[in-house]
Amino acid sequence: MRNRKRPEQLAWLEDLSGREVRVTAVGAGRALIENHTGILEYSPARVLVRCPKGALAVNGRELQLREVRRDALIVAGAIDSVEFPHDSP
Amino acid sequence: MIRLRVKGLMLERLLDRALEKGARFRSVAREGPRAVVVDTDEHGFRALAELCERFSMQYEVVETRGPEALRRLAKRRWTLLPGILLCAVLLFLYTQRIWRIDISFESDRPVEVTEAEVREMLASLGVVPGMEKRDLDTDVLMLDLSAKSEEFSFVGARVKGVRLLVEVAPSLRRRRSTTSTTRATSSQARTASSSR
Repeated sequence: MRNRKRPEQLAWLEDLSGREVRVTAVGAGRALIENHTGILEYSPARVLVRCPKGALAVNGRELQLREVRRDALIVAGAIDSVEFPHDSP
Repeated sequence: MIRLRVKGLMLERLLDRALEKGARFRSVAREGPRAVVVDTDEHGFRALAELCERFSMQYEVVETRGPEALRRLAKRRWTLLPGILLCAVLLFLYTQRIWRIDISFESDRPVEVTEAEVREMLASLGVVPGMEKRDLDTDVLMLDLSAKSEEFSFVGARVKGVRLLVEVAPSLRRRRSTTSTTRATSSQARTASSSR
């Protein structure tokens, strides 16, 4: 069977599986984190959530969690940085 | 919305367990290293409270707002809602009856019939305080009352809330007879004075 190579333009479709963590930032004051698997650490300076491929960290000041669901939450506050887990090859 | 403060260690794990149980949190805010303030609904509150009791963690309800607060109030004071319903039903039943009968005489002329007599007439027609509104036909009442006595030149009846307003005007014929009597008396007096 011939191994077809997926076109480069459809690479983003991988994301539709729903297993990848997704972060949507609205300015520097709000970040929606989807597809997490749990809260590991929460402090006003750092929010660490478990992801399928590691842990995602949101660093900032006066951070609060809003609309916390089993697989999604919003981090609100002064967000300085978002650290993604390093994908293992 | 229920706001509660949870104190203890490893609070993230507690939140995680509550999320696994289907809880949802509107807001989570740190209040020191060993406390979080959580805004949640009734289901989330129950899940958190159960976990706190299981793991011997302290929690306290800071405040309740919105429909949840109303629901909790209704639960705490369970007689309140039936009481309001009973009150509404009684008020409805109360307004279905006539409780006062007001009689007014719409004339400056001297009235031959007293208010008590009109009340007696109404009572004889079955119109008494406490009767049901639906049993009363004001048009029929006006006709019956007019037919009951010739003393009235006009009879009006209307229902206003729980009151029956009856307006009567004395008959003009009676006024005329009174006038003729007065005239006769005065002519007799004149005759008597002339004879003297």
